[in-house]
Amino acid sequence: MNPSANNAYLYAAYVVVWVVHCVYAFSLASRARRMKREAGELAASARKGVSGGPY
Amino acid sequence: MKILFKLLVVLTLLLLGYGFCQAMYIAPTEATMGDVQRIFYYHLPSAWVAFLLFFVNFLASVWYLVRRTIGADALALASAEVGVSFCTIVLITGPIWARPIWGIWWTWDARLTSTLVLWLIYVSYLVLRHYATGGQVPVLAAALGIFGFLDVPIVYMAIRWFRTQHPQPVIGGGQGSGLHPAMWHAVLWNLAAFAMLALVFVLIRYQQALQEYALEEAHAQASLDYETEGAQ
Repeated sequence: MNPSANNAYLYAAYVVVWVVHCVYAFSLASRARRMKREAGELAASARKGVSGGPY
Repeated sequence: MKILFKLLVVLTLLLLGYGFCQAMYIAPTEATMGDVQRIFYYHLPSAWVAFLLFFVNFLASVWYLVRRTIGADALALASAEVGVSFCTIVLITGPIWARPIWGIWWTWDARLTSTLVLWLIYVSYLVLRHYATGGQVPVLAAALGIFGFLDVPIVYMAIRWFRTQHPQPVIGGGQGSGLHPAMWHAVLWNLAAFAMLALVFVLIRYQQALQEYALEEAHAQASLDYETEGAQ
């Protein structure tokens, strides 16, 4: 690869590819955390008994 | 199973690294366009992987309509979501490549327009899945996935059927078309790397979709128990 004016476009495209993939990976991780929290809350409510109300 | 998945992730990262080396340093510089042509090694594999994922969505949607299994619906959702992220990359890297070569970011030719329509179809699929409520949502989404997939062959054939600003096919384009063998290596390594990355994402999202079903059921059961208790 040789340095040239067009390389800025190449780098921009490369950055875009990884930004999109990282954003998606981050969304998967945050969904996993949210579901883990929800499952924990549900399990805790079930241990207390159903009288705590709808979850 | 977890060890196998970790191995898959490590293998994917290694492939992505090797694919990067192939694309940036090993593949020869294209004579006319120069280094900016290396965008091709991300643009084309991303498009093929997106098409593959939309095909998986199509098959899973058909399977869901026939059998009504949760697994088929979860696979349809996972493949559509990951497919949209790859299609987004195609739609952004294309204009970045077009600007220095064509002098414009975008033109409404058949290939570009049909790709944008494809992206919009699957974004609407995800919006439907996310915001609509009721038991018929997976059925409606499956129907949208099946008819939406009809745009994929149109996108693929657009440069063969119409005169377009987008270049005529380099791969499978008949006489005079083709790639330098070293360029082929870069394409195939990056295709393998992105396909593996897509597989990792789909597996994770598939598991999450199944967990979402289980959570919804648990919530519904808990609400039912509460109402039953209140009635007594």
